[in-house]
Amino acid sequence: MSDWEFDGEEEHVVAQLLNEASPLKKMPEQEKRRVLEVLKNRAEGGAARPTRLDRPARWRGAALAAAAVFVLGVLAVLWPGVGSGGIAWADVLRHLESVHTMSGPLKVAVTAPDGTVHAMTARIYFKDPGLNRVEKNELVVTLPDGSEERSTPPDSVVIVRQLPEDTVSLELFPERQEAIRTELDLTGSMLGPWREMSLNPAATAWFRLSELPESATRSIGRREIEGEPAVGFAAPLAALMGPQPLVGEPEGEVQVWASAATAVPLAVEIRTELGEWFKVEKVEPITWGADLPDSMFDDSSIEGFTIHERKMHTRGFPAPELKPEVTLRIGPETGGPVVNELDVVGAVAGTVLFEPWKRVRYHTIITFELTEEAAERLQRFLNEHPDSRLQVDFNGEFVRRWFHPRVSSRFVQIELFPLRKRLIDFEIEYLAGGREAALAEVERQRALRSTPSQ
Amino acid sequence: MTTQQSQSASSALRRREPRAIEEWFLDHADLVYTFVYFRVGKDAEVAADVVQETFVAALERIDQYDPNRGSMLVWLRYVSRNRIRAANRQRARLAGGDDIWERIDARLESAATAAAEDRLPSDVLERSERAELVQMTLANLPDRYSRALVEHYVEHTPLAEMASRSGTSASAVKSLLFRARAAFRSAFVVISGELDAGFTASRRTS
Repeated sequence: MSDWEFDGEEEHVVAQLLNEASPLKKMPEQEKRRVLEVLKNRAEGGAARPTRLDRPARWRGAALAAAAVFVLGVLAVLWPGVGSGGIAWADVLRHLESVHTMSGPLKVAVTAPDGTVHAMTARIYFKDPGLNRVEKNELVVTLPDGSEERSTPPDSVVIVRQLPEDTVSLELFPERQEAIRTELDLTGSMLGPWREMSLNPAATAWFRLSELPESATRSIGRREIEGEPAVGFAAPLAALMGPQPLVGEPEGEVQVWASAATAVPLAVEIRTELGEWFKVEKVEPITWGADLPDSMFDDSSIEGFTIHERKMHTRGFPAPELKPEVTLRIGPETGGPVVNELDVVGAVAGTVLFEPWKRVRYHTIITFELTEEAAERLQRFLNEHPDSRLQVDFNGEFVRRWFHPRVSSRFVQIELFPLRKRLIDFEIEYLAGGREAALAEVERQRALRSTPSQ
Repeated sequence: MTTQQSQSASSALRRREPRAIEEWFLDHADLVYTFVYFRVGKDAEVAADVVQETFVAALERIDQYDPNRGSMLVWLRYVSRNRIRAANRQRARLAGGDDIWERIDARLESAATAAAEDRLPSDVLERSERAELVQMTLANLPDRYSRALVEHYVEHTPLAEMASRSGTSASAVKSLLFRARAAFRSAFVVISGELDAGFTASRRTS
């Protein structure tokens, strides 16, 4: 039996192996009948019959189980952090995977380096798969001295449909009988799961959480939510989402608070740090499995509304190096630049926003990656000259004042006004390997268009 | 099953039609069960429970199944993996068992691309546990391969009849069997090698 490469002999060996292994393993018939009954019952809306896996104590025997209950009881009294009432992350996961709708109040609070807090409240509805509805409510700005500025924007409803290749959102303003329909193409943006996160953090967290292994979570104690005792689990944001494009390893964590009695998640909170900025997104209390009719997510019944079509396209540039002759200077209006093109690693991504009904129809935002030393230099300058207005000069063609620089890690986002170009044209004109990358993108778009959708 | 049939079956499943659920379950139960069985330490009760949880979860998430991204069996195996891990953790019966199967999965992925270069080990027929290895191997193959191998080599279905059943030609079936044997050979080598290594390591540590 040494010449296995000869197909005839190999065929003989495979046949012999398969026959020796027969009869092939099958699921016992009585187990099949049992599972089938559970499945049919489930399809009719009944609850799944608990399996042996739902009753872990049984594995250890009655005596051990009784001892464990006693020990857990003592620990719960003495040490609240351990008193999860026997709720494990796996119990929470089981619930996450068995529901199809989620709704609740969302609060997003962004704290700026000077201590100002911008908070937005809304009510969100999510229906699996990919249907979102956000009803915006109120904006509150809390200044460092504690004073508040409240504003209630016009009533609006945002309906988002997430599709495999792009996303359509419809923002309705019922009082004005106006609607803005936005087509977002983020597929080439390198955003990965962060794409979904930017569209609907709570729903994304729901899906990503179902993949989070127990080993990544830690217990964070107990608290009450709406009068119900809850146990907390936390995991690093990196474990939930993977590296954040353009920023690197994300700083922050996700917290899930689940009922101590049923393991049903009652609150999800995502805490993100971006440089000196701090953001908290929280849904609490969560309602799972509510009957949310499809009409809540219907984006076609907008008769009588004036509809504005907005397009937003974000794309990562796979060959980001600037052409040798292209220049970039960022610095105060008087004096020399703080950084220039020699400090630029590349133009790594771009976003085009096209709003044809507005006076300024095009917005083109390019993300530049700086060297680490240059990014530190720029940040240091901004810290030392907080009131200084910066000026950006891109290739001598586009010059603008830069009022609100965002410097996070080594990446700066700059709106190149009035760069009325498609991102592909930007690539070809200014990036060293742009032509080849742009051609590849054209091919991708062509392939997408020629693939029949299901 | 043609794409059209597959889509029609998926639609019936999405509507939770009892007959569709029964056909779907019976069509995949044995292969999922075998896949799970060896990964939960050959515990029949636990395997059956994991299979139940897998199918219940899959039925709940059936809208997420995309036939363009792989067969139903591949998706069911994917759904089963978290439940297998949870079952093994809960029981703590398989110290290190999870790692072995994770290594096997990783190697199977790379082996799939280099299937033609692998050879079955020369002592393959002397192995005392080869029957179990064969079962494990079949459970980890793409379903079209394992079904074809069983139909032809175990049930002795002639090529012409297999071709007629699947609506293809005898030469297409022959080609399918050739690829199936290559995949079998490659997976068999990976699984037997990793289990051997795992067994040796556990003996060293015990």
